[in-house]
Amino acid sequence: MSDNQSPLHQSNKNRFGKIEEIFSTFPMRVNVTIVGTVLVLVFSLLEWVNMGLGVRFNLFTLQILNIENRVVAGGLEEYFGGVAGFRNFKLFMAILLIIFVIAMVLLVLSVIKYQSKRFRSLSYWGFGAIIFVAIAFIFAILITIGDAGTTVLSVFPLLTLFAPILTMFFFPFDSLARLMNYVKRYWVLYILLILPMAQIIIFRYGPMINILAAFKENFFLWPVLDRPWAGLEFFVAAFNDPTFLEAFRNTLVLSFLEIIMGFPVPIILAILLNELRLRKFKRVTQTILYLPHFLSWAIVAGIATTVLGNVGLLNNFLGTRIPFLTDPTHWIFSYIIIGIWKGMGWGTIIYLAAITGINPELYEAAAVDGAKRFRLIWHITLPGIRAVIVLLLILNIGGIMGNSFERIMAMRNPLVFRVSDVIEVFTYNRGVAGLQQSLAAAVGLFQSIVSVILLFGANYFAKKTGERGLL
Amino acid sequence: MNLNKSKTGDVIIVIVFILLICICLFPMMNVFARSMSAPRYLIRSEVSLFPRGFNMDAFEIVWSDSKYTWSLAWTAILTFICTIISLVLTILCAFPFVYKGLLGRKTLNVFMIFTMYFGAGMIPTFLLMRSLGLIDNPLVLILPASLSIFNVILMRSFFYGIPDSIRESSEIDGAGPFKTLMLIYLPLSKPVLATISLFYAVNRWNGYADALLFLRTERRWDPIQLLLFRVQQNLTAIDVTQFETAAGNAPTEAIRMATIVIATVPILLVYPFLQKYFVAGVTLGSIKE
Repeated sequence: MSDNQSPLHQSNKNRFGKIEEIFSTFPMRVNVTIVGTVLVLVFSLLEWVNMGLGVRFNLFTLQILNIENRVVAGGLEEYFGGVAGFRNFKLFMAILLIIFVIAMVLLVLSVIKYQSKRFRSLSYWGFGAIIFVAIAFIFAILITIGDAGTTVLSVFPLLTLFAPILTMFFFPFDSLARLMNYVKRYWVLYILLILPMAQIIIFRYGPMINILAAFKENFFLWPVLDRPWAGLEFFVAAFNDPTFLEAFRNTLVLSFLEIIMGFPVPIILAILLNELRLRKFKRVTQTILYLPHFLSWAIVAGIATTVLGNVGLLNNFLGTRIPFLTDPTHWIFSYIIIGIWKGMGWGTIIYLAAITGINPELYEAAAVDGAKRFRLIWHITLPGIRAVIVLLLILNIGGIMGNSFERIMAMRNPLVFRVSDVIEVFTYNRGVAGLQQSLAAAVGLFQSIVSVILLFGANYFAKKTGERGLL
Repeated sequence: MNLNKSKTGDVIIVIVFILLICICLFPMMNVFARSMSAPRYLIRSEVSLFPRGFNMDAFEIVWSDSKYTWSLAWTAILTFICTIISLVLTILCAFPFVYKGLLGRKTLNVFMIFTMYFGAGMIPTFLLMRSLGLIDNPLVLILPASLSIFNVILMRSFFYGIPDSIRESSEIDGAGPFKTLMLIYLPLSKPVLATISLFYAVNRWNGYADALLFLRTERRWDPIQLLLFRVQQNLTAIDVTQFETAAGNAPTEAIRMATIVIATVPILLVYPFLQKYFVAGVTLGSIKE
């Protein structure tokens, strides 16, 4: 009934219709881009007005800041106990700039990709770009809640400019209806992801900003970002430190021995277990062999001193007084063997699963051809689990630089410090128990980077030689 | 099916495993035996696999020491809380990945997996805990380790194994993602839920690295394993200085053994019944990597 409609309503409807008409002449993602850009400009304008007034409100820290970014009032700081004052503005800007440049490069690449391949959805490079922008955001947020004290909110408008640019190319919906449909269908999932992602951001990415401590002076009570720069001083210091070199050597020795002696044990055990034909006995054996895995390193160390001590079970049994735990050379082997003792049974599970996956017809065919037990193992079982062996070897190589803090801490004792103190112990002694935080951070960074290089190097090598690899 | 396998080979394998069982069990039996033996046998270190001069004095001493009882109770509470929180976070993190159409799914995946291969390290983590005010705070034992990416992948693999058609039919019936999770996915994934809670529980019960790093001066929140660790450290110090009389202090020795036994028993009690869940978890993880 058109007569019942008021002129106002009519005109409103017309006006709205007009906007809709204008909007519908462009593709959906262009519209989103326009709206996004306008929002960003408004946001920026507000910021600059705030700056003009001499105070502004930081959304993330709930602080009111003056023009020099000093806190005037409020803020999460009061709860987190940071120090007010942002002394590293230039650094912050520089890092953001680098991230921007990378993001821009990725964006350009993604555009090229987009045009050449006509991807409808987000392309590989686009993911990269988004990740970098996300990192910039996270970085900014971390600086806000972390050690730095205050933040510079005025870079956020710049940052947010990237969102519309991204949507320009990657907005995957071609109509409002589809967008609404998507949101209606999936919004719950994003809500579900908030808590776990917050955990990951705070506790896994959060510490990464503090890696900078390695490049800063050792003002160990200061917030990391406020410390003056030290360059590579502490890396040089570490490599001139005999204790560190010793720790480095110990790490390599223990890890290599561990791989050489420990790595084959579960493989052999798994093959033997597979050969075991007494069902009940096999099950009991497995239960008992897995058991040591569930004892903590503190308990294992306790058991070790009891069994391997000078008057322990083993020495009594042998009628000797071998210093298993007090002589450095003996200790190294005790350490490795205790590790094998704890992990051997558990390590078989993964190989047993792989062996179960081997086609039994292969064994039957080989048996018909006259192959005996050893040849069956050599020609069928081992090749059948080769992929798993390679995978675990890659992971083991990735762990060469050490991931056994609890183990080594529990098993070391003053008589064998010379061979037992690995990089992690060094880091702990100097950085947490001691006061040489920068040195410890430098050593820790060195350790992480070498670990990653080893892992991916091993993976690359495995792939080169035709294995499936890790990633 | 006889695969040309000789009987002697079988016998050798059985003997090897009997030896291995001995190697696994004897150290533990020795500890149990020592914790229940009379001091006079301990001093002469004449206790091997079975208790001699059976008595439970050491256990009574440990039970009456509030340091140990509180630590045990606190670790039990902590394990319970951590397991619940971790399990919820893991489910929340794993479930959205089931939806193939989720925007940003791959990005989030890379974002998550990256942290498996590159960690910030001890000092940066320590500094973060300090700036968050978590040093000497019991929360430091709960929050930082509350999500294991490996377990998320494990749970996700299991979720992937549930046919999409079940999910789709529930959505046609009008259930949203949350309802689908609660009414369809969780009831179907009881085994993997058991596995993952056990992984979290065992890790929390056995772990003490975080406690060692982040509980600097406050001793109240020490989990039992850290307590054991400290006892062990003190002991090795004594052991080294009084070289010849390592087992000289028999009551201390028995008490130490008793604490080890007490900290082990909960795991020994549940382990045989839950073994299949642990094994299932490792197997699932190995297949879907």
